[in-house]
This record gives sequence, structure tokens and C-alpha cells, in this order.
Amino acid sequence: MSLHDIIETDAITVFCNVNDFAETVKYWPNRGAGCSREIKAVVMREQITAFSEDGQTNLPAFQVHVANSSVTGISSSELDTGGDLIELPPRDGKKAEMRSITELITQDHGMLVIECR
Amino acid sequence: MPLTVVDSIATVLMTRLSTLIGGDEQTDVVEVIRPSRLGNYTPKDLQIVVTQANPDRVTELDCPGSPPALCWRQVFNINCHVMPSEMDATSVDQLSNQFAADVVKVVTSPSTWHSFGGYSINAEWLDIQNMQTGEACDGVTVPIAITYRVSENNPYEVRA
Repeated sequence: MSLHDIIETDAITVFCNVNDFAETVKYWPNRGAGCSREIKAVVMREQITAFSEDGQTNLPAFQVHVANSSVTGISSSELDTGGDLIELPPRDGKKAEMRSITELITQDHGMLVIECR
Repeated sequence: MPLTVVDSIATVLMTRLSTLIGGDEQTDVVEVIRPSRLGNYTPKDLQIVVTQANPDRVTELDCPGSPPALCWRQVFNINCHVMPSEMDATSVDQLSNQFAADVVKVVTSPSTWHSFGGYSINAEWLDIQNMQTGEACDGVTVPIAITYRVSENNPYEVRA
């Protein structure tokens, strides 16, 4: 197994293991049209932050770590930051809500880190 | 529940903006929002979020009386979110220009648009600003300054 393969496998079995820090969320591709799919993700729930630089609008920010995979996560080739959505609880224990994927923060062959607002 | 005069103005503004949802203009807005403290919305393409800047007193337009009428100037920022698909090759500036133009059209559509249903004495457009949200979304903020008078002892009571 090459290092390339190990990175890909680790993303799914280690980083996105729901027995550790990951959770199951729903990804809505195609700008929310059509079918969703359940994926494993590590969600960092950040505090409410200003959405615009003038500070007039505030929104919670979510940093979502997923495998770069069109099966178990989100593939970098399918991701559309112009409307794709993730359904996740805004706070632990609360009902899941739809949140827009607003930014691809970083990416490699194994994982994507994306921001939802 | 009675509304303050400034909230009555906001209601008229929101109603006019809502005519862009499935309306006749080129921009087909998906929703018009006045956000809650924790942000009760997620950014979307062709979404309007209305916020208020700090109100200013306009003392030169106060009116004497018992009680006197105090004049205020409230700027509403009409944030027009543009978040097209990554595959959309249309110029984002063009989409923003069109969005701002359609906002101006629907807000000024009544012949006495500046009175906002009788709650204000004047309204004027301020400089349009490009939205600064990093990569998150594009668009423009269309500010409108609305001037109104209320009784000194009752901000629920509009005064001419």
C-alpha cells in the first residue's frame, strides 16, 4: 500500500471515525437539489462571528472536516461552494439545520476542510 | 403587538423587497430576512438580509409642540447576497448590478415611495458598497436612509 493509499484510508477510518470525534451529517450536493447522502465528518462548532466586515450581520461558523471521497465524504471535484449544503446540528443535542458550504478552507488527497455558515 | 414607527417602516421595506420573490424582475430572490441575534439564516444565492445601522438624530427637522416631534434618520442596509454555482460563468459584478437595480426598482415602485406608508417624511439612497465576506459570498449592500418623526414621549406615534 502506497503512502497515497494510506492517507486516503486514514481519512475515512481514523479521522472520520464516529467512535472517536466524528459524527454523521447529511450532505446535499447539486446546490441542495435532489438527494442527500449521509457522510462522516468532524465538525468544529465555532462561536458566532461577523459574516460581513461591517459587523452588521453575524452568523455561526462551522469548520467541517470530511474525507475527500464521493462515497464516504465529499469529493473535491463534486463540491460546489455556490450552493451545496450540509445538514448538521448547530449545537450538540439540537435539531439538524441546513447550512450553506461557503468556503473550501484547505484540501489534500485525503481530506477537505470546509466552512459552513 | 404595536410596532414602533421604525419597525413599521422596516415592515413596509420588507414587504416591497419580498415582491422580488417570484416577481416580474430579472432577479428572482429566494428569501428576505431580518436576522435574529444568533443568525437565523444560512447564506444563499439571491438572498436579501436587511440590517439597521445606528440611528441618527436630525435636530434641524424637529418640530415644536406638546409633546414635540423628534426627527430621526435610520439607515437600512439591504444586503444582496450573490452566491452562484462555481460552474456559472456569468460575471458576478453583472449579477450584483442587476440585483441592486431590481432592489431599487421595487422599493421605489409606489409613486409616494419615500413616505413608506405614511411613516416617513423622506428617503434617499446612499452609496452602494460591495460586500466584503471573503470567499463566502459576493454581492452588494444597498443602503437606504429613511427620515421620520415621532412624538418625543412615544416612539410608536408617527408625527408629520
